[in-house]
Amino acid sequence: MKLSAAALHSQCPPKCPQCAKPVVLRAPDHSERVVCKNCFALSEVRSGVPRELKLLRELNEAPAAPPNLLPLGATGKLDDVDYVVTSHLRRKLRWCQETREQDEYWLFNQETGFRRLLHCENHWSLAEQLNDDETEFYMSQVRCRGLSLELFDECFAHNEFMVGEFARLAGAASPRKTALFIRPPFLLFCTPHKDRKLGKKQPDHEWWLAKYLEPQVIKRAFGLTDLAEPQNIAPNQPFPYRATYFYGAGLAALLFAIWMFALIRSDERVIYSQTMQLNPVTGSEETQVFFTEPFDLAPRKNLKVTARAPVNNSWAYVEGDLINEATGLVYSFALPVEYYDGYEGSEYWSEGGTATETHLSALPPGKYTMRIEVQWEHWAAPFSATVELQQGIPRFWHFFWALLAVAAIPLLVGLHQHSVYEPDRWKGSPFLPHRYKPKDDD
Amino acid sequence: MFNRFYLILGIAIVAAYAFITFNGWELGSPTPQQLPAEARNAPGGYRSFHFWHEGYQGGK
Repeated sequence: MKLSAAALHSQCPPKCPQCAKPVVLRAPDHSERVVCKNCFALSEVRSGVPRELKLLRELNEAPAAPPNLLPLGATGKLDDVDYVVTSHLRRKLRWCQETREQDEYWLFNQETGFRRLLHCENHWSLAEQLNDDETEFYMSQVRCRGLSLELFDECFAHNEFMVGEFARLAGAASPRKTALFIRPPFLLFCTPHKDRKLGKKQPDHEWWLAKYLEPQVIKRAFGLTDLAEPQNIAPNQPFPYRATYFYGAGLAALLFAIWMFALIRSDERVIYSQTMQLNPVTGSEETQVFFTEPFDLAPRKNLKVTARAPVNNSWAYVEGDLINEATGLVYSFALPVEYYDGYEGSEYWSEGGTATETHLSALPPGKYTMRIEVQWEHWAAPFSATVELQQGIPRFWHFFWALLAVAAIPLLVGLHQHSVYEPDRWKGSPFLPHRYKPKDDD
Repeated sequence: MFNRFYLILGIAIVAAYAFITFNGWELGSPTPQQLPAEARNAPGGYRSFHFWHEGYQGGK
């Protein structure tokens, strides 16, 4: 941090024109107004070495100093920039519906100049001044630095207490109308130049762009131990669960990549397929049993068994067992095939089908035999049934359910943001966007 | 905190999906049963063994 100019002036500080006590200038090359911390007289900082102070406003009675979290001269690092606190200012912001008090700490760095650290209802934002040509009005929005900021509210800001060094306009004592535009975490505020003179090349407005900072950032930056947590939603406070959207998108992309990779490397193949001609049996509980020739199953590939039977308003029941020839382990499955249709009044209905399938987990690799046992409703008549065994089937539904599980939380979070969080943010604003208005108000 | 919880949960879901996909797992697959040794060693082997099925209980 370069404070050589400040060091120079600290050796020979100017004196307050009212109380004659020394006034420390921490930003002598940038400060245009200074309020004495002893008598609170407002002075203009004039050029020269050392700087001279010209009294602008006397104060006969010292104002009550509000609590100051960051004393003048305190140092801290924000966004990798070292700052020193040069001043403290308390403003009263009068909105159309309420009044709030806001503390402002002016921070100074030799290279970046002044920044304003705003503290309102335990919310913090760091603001930097913009050039007039960096902003552009568009309808009720302002565009700046690639952002479109929406008009949030207008208020009158009145300085109640000031101490330390400021840039010129901060010294204005009368209330000034301020327009606020937001796009969380950014807050753009605009104040018309009160002392603008015709014919002079001076911008119409003073623009400051603030970025929301979590209280923990301020704690770390200035070494504070105790800082109250905000209890409401600030106009520019970012939605705290916004990260779930990015995480959700990343996880969904990862799932899709896995699904595509599984599709590409799948080698779906038919292990066994046979249509069995079944002769009539002697009773309704009788079955016919078949054994297949031994076949090999590959490791880590799932199985799909399909049974087809020409059922019509009847049923067939196929039970199967995959028997490991080496170990004697038996993996059983059952496939009921039933199809019914008819008319209820004049309305046609149907249920079931002539084919049923089931999926089985991958079995240990080796030689297997399949036992098939078939039972059918019209046991006294000949029947036929087809059984097919496939391996390595890509499972779309696994992908779908995994995607749904991953997307569920971001979807709920999005619903909460749209229906609760954002309306809460905008509830005090007369410029509530249409998208957050209750449907009854349409 | 919630964001981190979701990230961990999401990674667990993706990992479980990848594991299931590349190992051929199916949810709800039946547990295997062991064919008794005497059935495997008997003449005709398991072809004469009475398996555990109970027959169809449905129908319309």
